[in-house]
Amino acid sequence: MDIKQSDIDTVESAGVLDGQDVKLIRLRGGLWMAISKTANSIKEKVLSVGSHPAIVKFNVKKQFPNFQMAMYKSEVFANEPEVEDHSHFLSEDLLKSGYELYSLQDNNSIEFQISKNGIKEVSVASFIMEDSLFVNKTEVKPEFSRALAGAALEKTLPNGIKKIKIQK
Amino acid sequence: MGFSKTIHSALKASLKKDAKNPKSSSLGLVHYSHVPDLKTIDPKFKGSGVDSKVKGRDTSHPHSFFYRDNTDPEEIVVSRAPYRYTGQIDTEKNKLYDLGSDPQKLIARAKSRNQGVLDMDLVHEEVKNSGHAGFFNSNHPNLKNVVAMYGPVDVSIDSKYKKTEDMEKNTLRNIGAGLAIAGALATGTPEKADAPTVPKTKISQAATKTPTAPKATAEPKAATPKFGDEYSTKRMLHTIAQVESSGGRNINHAPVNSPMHRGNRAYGQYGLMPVTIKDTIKAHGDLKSKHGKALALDGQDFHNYMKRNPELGETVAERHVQRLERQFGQDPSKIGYAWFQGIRGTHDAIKQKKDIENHWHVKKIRDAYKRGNK
Repeated sequence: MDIKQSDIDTVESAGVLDGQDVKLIRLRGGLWMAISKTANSIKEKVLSVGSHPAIVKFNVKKQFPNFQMAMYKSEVFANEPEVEDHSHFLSEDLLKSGYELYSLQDNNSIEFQISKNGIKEVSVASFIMEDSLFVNKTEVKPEFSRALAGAALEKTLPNGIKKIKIQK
Repeated sequence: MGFSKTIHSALKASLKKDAKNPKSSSLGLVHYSHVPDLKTIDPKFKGSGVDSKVKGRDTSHPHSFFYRDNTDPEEIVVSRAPYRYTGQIDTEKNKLYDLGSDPQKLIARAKSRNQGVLDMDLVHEEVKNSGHAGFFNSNHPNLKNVVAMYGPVDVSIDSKYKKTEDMEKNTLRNIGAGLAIAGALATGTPEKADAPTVPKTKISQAATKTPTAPKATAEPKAATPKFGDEYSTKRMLHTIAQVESSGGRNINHAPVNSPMHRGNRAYGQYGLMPVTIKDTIKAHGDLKSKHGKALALDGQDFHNYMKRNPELGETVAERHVQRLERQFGQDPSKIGYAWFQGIRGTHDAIKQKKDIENHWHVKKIRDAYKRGNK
């Protein structure tokens, strides 16, 4: 992938992989990517792309367990959310088409993001209050509803949530 | 007497009254080690001794294992330990919890905290929080006499006990089968907990004190590679992949309509059934902490999860083969049979003297193994 300078919105350090700096780039279209030189190449290689820097770093870490994330927070997103992959709830067809489903949790607020090839298509906001997860009512295509329900349910496990409520 | 209600009658029998203090109750404990001159058995060194295979079982609640005095230890442990230590605990001050009868429903409580899935760390937490210093499992088929302690226990060396050369040789090659007490105590089912199913030698009390008794009568047969080349886990995995999916080329497995698998399909190049994958995740702390949520998935969701985490399939296959090696030795036929029929099914088949070697799946495995898949 050739990226022109004019395509780049921001560049920041994401961490280090096998002694090489990993850079986090935000393209003007909103796509985030992590790039790094590999041991034997001069040219930088794209390690991961995604709709959010935390998702990109999450996938770099998953792919390369040696990846050491930069200790300081992203300049753009001061509070780095906790990422969880829920894509397994998507149908096989959606997965094959490049769809992914992640949740980004920042304290009590959880955002569910569905992206296609790294570009965000759907965002559903929710928050935890006491023992309930309040999900903002959002119009989504029917093919995503089961996966979103599964993701919401999966978020209840580690958070001790007993009820899921849809907010109008 | 004021015994803790949680102390099982089997333990009560071995409690001795302290003559000077009739209210206190002492329990004699025995610990085997390869380390000389120990004064204390401290759980923070768990896995550094005879039970080195326990090391991989990460827990935030370390505990040391003991046998109750005057009970038979496991041969696998004794055979590796030149030193025998004895100690006493006061069970009034150090209450022990019986996981087998679970009188305070601590296991049920731990499960309810984890969506019905047994997490031993949570069980340990419950046991400790309810004021217990250790635990045992009165329901365990072989290891009722094992006591685990969360804190250090003062011990003194049994100077009469010496390990012989025979004992050293005995079962060293079966280290992998050894001491799976942690999981076994928890579940009460040796199969689920990787507990060794090595035939248990009856070692008399005299034998544990005098070193000559444990003869090779109960020594598990050495697993000899049958096919010339040296056995390796990698080669076995490669063989299984060849048989199950032609080396990963045919991974669209048909649904299995047995009551146990309920129409589920095997996954991946090794043809692992979801129930096996989940059991393996449950049995390994590292996998459970990383992939615990897979335990709640079924059907296509579960397959999607596996596809998105390809390293998990590889790790599970490797750990499962290693588990089978511990159960059946490095025997491709038995491992092949167990891959298809399960561990219990294989033990049953061996017990019933079934012709494992001529089972169609075993034949395939043996042929693939013979072809020299490396």
